[in-house]
Amino acid sequence: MIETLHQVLTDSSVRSNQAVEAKLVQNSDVATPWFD
Amino acid sequence: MNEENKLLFKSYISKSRNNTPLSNHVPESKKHKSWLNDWHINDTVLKIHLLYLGNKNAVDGDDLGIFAKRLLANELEVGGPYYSYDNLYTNALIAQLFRTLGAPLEKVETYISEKLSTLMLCDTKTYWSISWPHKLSRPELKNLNLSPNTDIGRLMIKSVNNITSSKNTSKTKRLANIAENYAKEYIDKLEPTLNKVGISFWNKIINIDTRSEISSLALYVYDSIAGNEDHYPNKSIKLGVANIYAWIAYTIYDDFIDEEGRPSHLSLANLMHRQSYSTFIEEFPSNKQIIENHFDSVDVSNSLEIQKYRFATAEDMVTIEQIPEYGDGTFLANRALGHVLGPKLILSEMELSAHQEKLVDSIFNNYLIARQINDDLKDWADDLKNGHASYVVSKLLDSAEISPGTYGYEELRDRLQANFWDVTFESCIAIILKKINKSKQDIIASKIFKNDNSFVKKVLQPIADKAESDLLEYKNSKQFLKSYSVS
Repeated sequence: MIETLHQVLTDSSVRSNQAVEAKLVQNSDVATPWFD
Repeated sequence: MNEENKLLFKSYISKSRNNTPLSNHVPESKKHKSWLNDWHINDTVLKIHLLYLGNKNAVDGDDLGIFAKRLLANELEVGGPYYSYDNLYTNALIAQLFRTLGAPLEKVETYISEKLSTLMLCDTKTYWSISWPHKLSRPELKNLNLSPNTDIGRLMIKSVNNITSSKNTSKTKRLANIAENYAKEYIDKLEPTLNKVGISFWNKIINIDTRSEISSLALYVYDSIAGNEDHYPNKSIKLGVANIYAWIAYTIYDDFIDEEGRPSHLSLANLMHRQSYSTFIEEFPSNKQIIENHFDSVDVSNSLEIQKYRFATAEDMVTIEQIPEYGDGTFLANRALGHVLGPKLILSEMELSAHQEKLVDSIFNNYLIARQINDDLKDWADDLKNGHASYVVSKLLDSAEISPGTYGYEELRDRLQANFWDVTFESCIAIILKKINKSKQDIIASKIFKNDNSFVKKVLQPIADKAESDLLEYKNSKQFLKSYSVS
């Protein structure tokens, strides 16, 4: 989650809800999609 | 600094010396969350930082989701700096927080560095903000005029002066390095082609061994035995070396089991396997039977895995004939038994009762099962794709009531996804915690180990902590997205 927060702040392409959701999944140690 | 932060700061400074967390000091306003939007940005940043320093779990995904939007609203450029009437102080507080979070904001730190290069004098709070708890880039401090005349000012200066440098490398880490280097010295002597492959696998093992579990498990167990003094016999280090060799060998063999093996790696695997076996025999010549039993157990389990724990795969299709049963997980332990051979050899030199021997088996089996399920949780989607019916994959298929048949991988994965997060993930975390607890209970019951021992602290507890933090991270991430997404 902290990695995602950092990416939201430093990368303007990671600001939409969809992009944030994708990053949260990607950065999760359990790298499996978890939203419907 | 507002009154609530002054209290939090004083509390943190006075308690941190005793390593007492600030967890009991979460103020009433934390529960309402309005401070995240209503307080001045400086106090909001500082409060998050102080709460986090006291207890990482005091700041959740919901807080950080709201905080992300707050920072974006004050953004001057992407990545910072951030606007306030007191830009240097505000950005220093932000930089400090993100350093503590382990995700430094490079542009904010550059901004601070540039500001400081032209600064001749500064007040106490600015000096403190660039110095505590991390020393940010700064010019010579001798030019700074510091004469705090308030209690909090004096405490700020004191907190900076009390920063201690990081601890030296621990003794066990140094011993782990000896084992790692010993194994590398052997690989360095191999002929160039084998040496090249050997070094790449050696690096792979050292990189995954972040807690020195592979190189130092025998050391941790030796150190944990009641009556053993604080010195480590060379034998314990050699057991770590033998374990590194075995890990290299079985990493390569696993590639073959997964039908991804490369023939050019096979000779190295055989060499490492032989080297591991002979090192164990050399150190414990009278325990040949135990050593061979452990190697046999791993090889028999690998054979069983191919027969019973594999689904046929072809062109992104997975064919499920029967979902394998893992029972109490003994198969998982048998498959990894080589990993605990060193500790078991150390314990074999003690005169244990039959009951104690049974408890020793239980201690290590539960540890191995917890460790394996933890790994399987991360890999379930890939395992499914590769036809590997791991513990987690099997549990998922069972829980989702998937019938025998041939499925498209993506379709099946999507069907299992919701079940994974809603049911299986939490139930697997619960099983991991249960196995670790059982191992700890048996440690106490065996009366072999010290009360406060390295095996629990450095091996078992980190697995339980990781499982709990994975669950918390998942819950926090969902909260973060929810609060970030609210317009």
